[in-house]
Amino acid sequence: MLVKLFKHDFRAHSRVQIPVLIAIAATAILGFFNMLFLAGTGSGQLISEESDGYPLMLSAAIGGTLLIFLALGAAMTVMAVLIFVRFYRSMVTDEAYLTFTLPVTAGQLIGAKFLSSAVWFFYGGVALTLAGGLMYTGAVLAGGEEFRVAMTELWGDLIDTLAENPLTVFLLVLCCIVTMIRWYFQITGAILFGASVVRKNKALAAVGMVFAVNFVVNLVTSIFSTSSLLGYSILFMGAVEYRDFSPNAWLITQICIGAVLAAVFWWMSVRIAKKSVNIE
Amino acid sequence: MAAVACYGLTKRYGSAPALSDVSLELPAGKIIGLLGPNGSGKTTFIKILAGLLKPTAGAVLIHGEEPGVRTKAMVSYLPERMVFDPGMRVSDCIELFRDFYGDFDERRAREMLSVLGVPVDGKLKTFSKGTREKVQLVLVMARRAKLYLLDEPIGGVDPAARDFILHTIVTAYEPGATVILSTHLIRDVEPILDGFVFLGSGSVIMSGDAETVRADTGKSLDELFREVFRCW
Repeated sequence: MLVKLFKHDFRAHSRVQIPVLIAIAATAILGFFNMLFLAGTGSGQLISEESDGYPLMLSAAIGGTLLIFLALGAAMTVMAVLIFVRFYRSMVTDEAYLTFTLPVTAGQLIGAKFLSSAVWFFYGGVALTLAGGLMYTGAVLAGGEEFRVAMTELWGDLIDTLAENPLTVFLLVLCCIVTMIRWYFQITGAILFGASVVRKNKALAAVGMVFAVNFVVNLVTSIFSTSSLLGYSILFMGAVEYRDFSPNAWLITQICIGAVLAAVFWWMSVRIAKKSVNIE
Repeated sequence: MAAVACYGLTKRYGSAPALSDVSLELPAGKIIGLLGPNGSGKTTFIKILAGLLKPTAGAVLIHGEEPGVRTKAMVSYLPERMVFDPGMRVSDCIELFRDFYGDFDERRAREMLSVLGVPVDGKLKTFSKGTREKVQLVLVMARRAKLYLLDEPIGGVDPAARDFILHTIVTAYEPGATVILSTHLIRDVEPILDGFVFLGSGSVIMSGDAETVRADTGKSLDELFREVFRCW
């Protein structure tokens, strides 16, 4: 049943997410030409630095680049928002009459929604990476020899640094994944909780609860994170001894906090879906 | 075994009671009208049977089982609202029913849609409200379920559509299955009813076999309803 739920939820997402992916692709192509323009202008290939029009062209190119980055960021945000709008619609509005009369468990419902959302978010990330790659290619093509050498050195240094710290890289990737999972269940749990405690204005209650839960969770996690960052015992026990800051220890702390919160919000989402579903 | 049995069934929304101590047994193989004025608890009762609401107190059994994943597989539920994403095609809806309900008869659904002239590759949002409701009814009735729960299927539709809906219910439901049909439009549904339950203010006012009551009282269910729920 999980596979079938995933299939139908994935398809439902595709109806709204494919236009966003197309928008990212279009922005990336625009970004490619903009980077040709920016790098060409910056390296003086398109216009002489002494020319009167140079400041104007450079400003236009930089402004265009900023707009492209903003558009890509906005597209990713829209993608994430649409994921949760779909969740809300299928779990709280009229569509929930179908969702909750399917012969499946609440855990399967929430699990399938998480998996399809994760796949679509992954697609968004891939699209964004490809867009970045395309824009980088444009910059390299038009940037001149000096730019290419600088970029090659930069990438070389980055790869060397990563290769020297494989555990940190692994923990960083794991931390990102756990944090995203925690965010997903935190938001879905808050949506279901918000919508389950009121009989009217459920959308407003759900959004309000998302912000409220986010505030509380950030407050609590920031205490742990900051204390950990400062190099003190995370539980403030005893007089606490100073220890050197270790990125790995900090990342492990973040992963543990994220995993615990993800489990708590998963349980909360499933429990509300099972026990106190409150459809509009 | 009764198709539906409930004992002391109570549901409150906050402090407001929607159902109060409802106890009844509904036999299998009958079309039963759940009849009552607006706000009498009909939809709440049906939602509990469909597994959408948990009762505050009491118990309900569907073919001997409490509402849950197993009963959802044998109950075909038609809510008052459109439950499909308007962006779906009719074929998507058919596929969804085929995937989740082992008792769904796809051939029968396609035949009924064909009779109605509904294109299966059409998107729901391109159809009129009436056509969308018919698609939903066809899908629900194309299941070979043990229990059909139809919540206000003829509310807010024109007389011609009412005839179509009632005809579909009578001809399409699985013999041996039970149909619970909630409405306050008694006159329209009376000819197809085998049994009835009058619900008023969340309580069972009267229930029984339609033919027997008509013979005993010399009144139609519609006349009896008007008498029982007289407003003045």
